[in-house]
Amino acid sequence: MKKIALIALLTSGFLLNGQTVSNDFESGNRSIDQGNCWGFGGFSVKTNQKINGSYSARSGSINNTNGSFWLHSPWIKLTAGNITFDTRLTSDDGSRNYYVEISFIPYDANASFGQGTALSTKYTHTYTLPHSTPETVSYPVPASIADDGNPYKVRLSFYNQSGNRNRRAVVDDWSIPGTYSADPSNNCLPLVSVADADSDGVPDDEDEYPNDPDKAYNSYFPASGTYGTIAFEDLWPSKGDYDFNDLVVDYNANYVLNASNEVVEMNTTVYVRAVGAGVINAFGIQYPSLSPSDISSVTGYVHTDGYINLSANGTEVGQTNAVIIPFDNVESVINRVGGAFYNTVAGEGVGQSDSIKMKITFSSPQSLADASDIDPFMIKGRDRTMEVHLPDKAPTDLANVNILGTGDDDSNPGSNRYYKTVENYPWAILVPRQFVYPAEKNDIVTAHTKFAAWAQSSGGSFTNWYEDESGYRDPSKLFQ
Amino acid sequence: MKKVALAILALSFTVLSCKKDNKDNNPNPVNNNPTSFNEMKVADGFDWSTTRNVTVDVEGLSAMTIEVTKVMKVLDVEGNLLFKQVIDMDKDATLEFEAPASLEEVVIEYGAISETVEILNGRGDFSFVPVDDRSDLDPEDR
Repeated sequence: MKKIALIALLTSGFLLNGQTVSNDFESGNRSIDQGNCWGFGGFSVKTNQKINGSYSARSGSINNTNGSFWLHSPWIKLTAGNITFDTRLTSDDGSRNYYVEISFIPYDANASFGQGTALSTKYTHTYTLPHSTPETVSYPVPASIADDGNPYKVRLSFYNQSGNRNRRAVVDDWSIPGTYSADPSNNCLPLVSVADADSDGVPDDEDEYPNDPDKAYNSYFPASGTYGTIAFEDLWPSKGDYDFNDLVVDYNANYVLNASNEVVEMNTTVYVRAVGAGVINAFGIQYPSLSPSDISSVTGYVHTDGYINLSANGTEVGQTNAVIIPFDNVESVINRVGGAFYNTVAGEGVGQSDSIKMKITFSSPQSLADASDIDPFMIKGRDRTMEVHLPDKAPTDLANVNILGTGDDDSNPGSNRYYKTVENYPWAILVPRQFVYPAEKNDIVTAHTKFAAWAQSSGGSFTNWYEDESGYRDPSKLFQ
Repeated sequence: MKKVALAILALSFTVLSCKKDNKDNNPNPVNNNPTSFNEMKVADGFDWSTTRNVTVDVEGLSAMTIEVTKVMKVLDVEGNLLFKQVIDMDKDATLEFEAPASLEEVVIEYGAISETVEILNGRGDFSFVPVDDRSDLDPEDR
C-alpha cells in the first residue's frame, strides 16, 4: 500500500513538473493563436523563412525601439525550468547587435488586459552570429516567481542597435514551463476555476441547476419572459369575419435541457386573452414529433367537462402523436367582467384568465427539435371531433376528418393541405409576440395595416406586420 | 404624310389592344390596399408562418490547451433571450431554433464574448476565432 501511494505521488509530481505551455505556430493562423491568448505585435505566422515544421512567427523589419515587435504568452502559472525558443534573423547583418528581451508580466486586475508592470527581473539575449543561423535561446524562469501560483505572461521583445536594417526575426517552438491559466472565453483574462457540483460538465456559474446532473439550463419559445399568441376563427369549416379573436391564447414554452442539450422537461404556460365566440371552445396541443409513450407525466391542465379521455401519463387516449389538452372549457379558466364576449369589445371591461401552467416530463430525454414541434388547435364547441388548426397542420386522430373539404374548407390530406380555403385563407395564425388582436368585427386587414401586404407577398415583405411600428396599426380597430 | 399618320394610328390600336388583352388575361389583379380579408389574393403555397427555423453555424477554436464548456446564449437585438445551448469552445456546432421570420440579426453571448451575427435567409455564422485586423503588420504581411 505504501509503494502504491509513493508511485502515485511521484507520477503526480512528474506531471506537474513536466507541464509546459508551448507554441510551434503550426496552426498556420495567428488568429487561432490569438484566440488561444497568444499575443502578436508586428509578428505574423508565415510559411516562408520558417525554422521548423510548416510555419514560424516572423516579425516586420526590426528597428532599435524595444517594444515595436513582440510576442507574449497566455497567462501561465510558471514552474521551475527553462523558457526556450528557436530564433534567427531572415539574413545576416555583419556584426551588428540584435536583441531579444525576455520579460515577465504579472496580473493586475486594474490594468488594461490585466497586464501589470513587467518585473524588473528580465533577460536580454544578443543574437549569436551569424544572425541567419537558427539558435535555441534558453533562460530559466526566475526563482522568485517559479511555482508562486500566480499567473504571468512571458513577453519576447525584439530590437537592434542600429535602426531599420530590413532584417526580420523568426521565432519557432516556444516552450514555457508551467500551467496554462488563461480563459479564451473571458477576454483571455486569468482562468478562474469554477466548481461543477453535479459533475455534469457545465460549471456552476453557467448551470441553472447546479445540483441536478439531469438538468443544466432553460431555453424558451418564443423567448424568455415573453409570450407568443395563437388566434383562431371558429366558424370552420365556414369562413369567419377575420377578426381573429374568437379564441386568443398566449403561449410560452420553457424547455429544461441537460448538459447534452436534450430536453428533459417542458413547462408550458397558456393564458386566454380573448373569447369573441358564441360557442364554448377548448384548446389542445399536438406534438407531431412525439409519441404518447415519450411522455411520462403531464400536470397542470384544467379539465372540467369530462369529454377528454386521458392516459395515466396525462396525454390523450387514442392518439398516435402525443396530445395534451390544457383546458377543455374556456369558461372554466376565464373570469369575465363584461357581456357575451370576453375582451373583444371596447368599454366592456377587461377580464382575466387563469394562467394554466403545465409541466411535461419525458420518459427519456428528447431533442429540442422534437419537443418544440407543436401543432396547437382549438376544439370547437367542446365537440372533440371538431378541431381547428393552423394552416397545413394536420388534425389529430380524434378529429372528424369527414368535415375536411366541406363548407369553405379546401383541405386535401393527400397533399398535406389542411385548414385553408380555396383562396388559401387560414382559420388560425401564430404570432411570435403577444398579439394585439382586432376588436370585435374588425377585419385584421384594416386593424393591422401591413398584414395584407405581408400575406399577398407570401411573407416576403412586412414580416413584422404585427409589431407596433409607425403606420402598422389602426388603434381604433384593435382591442387594447 | 398620310401613310405615316395611318401607321401611327394602326400602332396605337395595336398598343391599346395589347393593354386590353393583358387586362383580360388577369381578371383578378392584386389589390394592394384591400379593405377586407376576402379581397386579398394569396398565393396557394403561402403557409402563413410568422416564424422560421434559424440555423447558426458555430466554428470552434482549434488547438485549445484547456477545455471550455459554457452555455451559448442567442438574443434578439432587443435583448430577448431566444435560445441557449451548451457548447464546447473547441468544437464546431450548429444552433437551430425557431424565431420570428423578421429576425435579421442576433446577439450571441458566450462568457465575455458578445457578437452580433447577421441572419440572412435563416442562416448565420459565428466563429470563436477572433477577427484579426492585422493593422500592426507591415503592408506586405497583412
